[in-house]
Amino acid sequence: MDSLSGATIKALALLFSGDAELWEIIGISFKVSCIAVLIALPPSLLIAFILAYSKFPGRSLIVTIFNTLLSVPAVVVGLTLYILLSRAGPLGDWKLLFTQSAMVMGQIALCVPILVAMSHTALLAADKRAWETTRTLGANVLGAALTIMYETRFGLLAAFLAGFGRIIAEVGASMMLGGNILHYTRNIPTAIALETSKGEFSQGIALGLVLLSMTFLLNGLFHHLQGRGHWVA
Amino acid sequence: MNTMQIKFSEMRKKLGGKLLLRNESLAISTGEFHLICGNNGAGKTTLLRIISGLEKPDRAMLAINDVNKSWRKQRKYLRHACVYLHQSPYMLDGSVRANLEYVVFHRGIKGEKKQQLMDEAIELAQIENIVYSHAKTLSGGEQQRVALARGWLRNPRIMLLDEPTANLDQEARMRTTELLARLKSHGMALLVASHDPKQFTDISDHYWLLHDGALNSSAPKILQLASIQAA
Repeated sequence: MDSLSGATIKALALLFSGDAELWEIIGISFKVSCIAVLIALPPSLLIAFILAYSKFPGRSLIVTIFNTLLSVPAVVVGLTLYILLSRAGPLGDWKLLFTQSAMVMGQIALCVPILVAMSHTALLAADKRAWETTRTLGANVLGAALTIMYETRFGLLAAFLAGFGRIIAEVGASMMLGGNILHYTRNIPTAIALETSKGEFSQGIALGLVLLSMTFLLNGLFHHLQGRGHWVA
Repeated sequence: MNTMQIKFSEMRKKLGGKLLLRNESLAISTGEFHLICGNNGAGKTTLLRIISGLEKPDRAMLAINDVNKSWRKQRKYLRHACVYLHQSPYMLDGSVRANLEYVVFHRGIKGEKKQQLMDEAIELAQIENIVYSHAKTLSGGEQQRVALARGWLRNPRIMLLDEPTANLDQEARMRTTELLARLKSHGMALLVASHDPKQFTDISDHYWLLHDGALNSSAPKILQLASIQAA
């Protein structure tokens, strides 16, 4: 095993030399997670909005279910979808197992509860007069909803970042549903798990650094935006 | 603005076990100023919210130009015809100009007509010096004037104001009252809920007292209260 410092130097060399395999893994990771979070976002916002702004029987139960789903382990989500998508499963005919589409499905299942729960909290925190003001000023339901989302944009952005952070770094579902196939379904977390099991720490560290840098950048961006929008002294 | 009369009848509302309105009636015509007085918790805000279509009554009938239908069936019309202003108006995140543009955008007005209306609203509310300020950083009086300009841009038949001069200093109260008088002269019907009647006695046409769920036309009592406050 390399020493930690030696492995880190090798990792940086791999990153900055533009190692094709490494950057392909990073590309797959971002592609899958971006598609997943973008597909999950509109329905999650809609659900969060309905939960925050309408009254119907069972509303509290649905909120509780989404909050409970927050803590479901990624590997359980992976296992459930694996059973559904496996050849003998009810969705076996779709032939999606060990594809990027299956990984996207798994990541959608993982980030929807975060997006719903955090967006719901952000929308609940909106001023109660905001909705009535938009409606009385002539906005239709969609216009009013978009305005409220704009008014609560920092909370919603935090939800988006938390959802993206969860799925870009999860290993359980991606491993089970993608199968960790090189050049196709190997993403950052599954590659780290594989390389570490082989004792190849340098690639694992390089990929870990990418994840850390990305998280740092996203959080920095969020705080920058929030700071600009923070008009109250 | 065409002459129009809206007549509410059989208005009934119970909230938290308390009867706020018991089969009450109220007729509003364009260009009228109605002042509604009552103690805190009497139901003034609830009454305005029912009239504006924001809050469901337990029961209410509504006749528009003598065509009588239930409140539920006329709710869409009420939302279209009325603008409700909260006691402390909510300012949308952005400049005063952005707040005004919001209304014009939702009315689907663009180009020269939009600019003309915006200029008119800014002049009407005398907010020329704060047009590019952030709306949320304005004082209470300034926010009230922006809210009134915003409401006027919506071109409603009826504007409902909940305690529009509460928490304002004397100068801001005067300016708000002057602005309400200008809105009235534009043919808009105004319903103002207040427990400070002396501010509006010069421009009020109808006086109402809401007490124990009953809405009574009660000019003498309110004018008496106003004179006591003024003394």
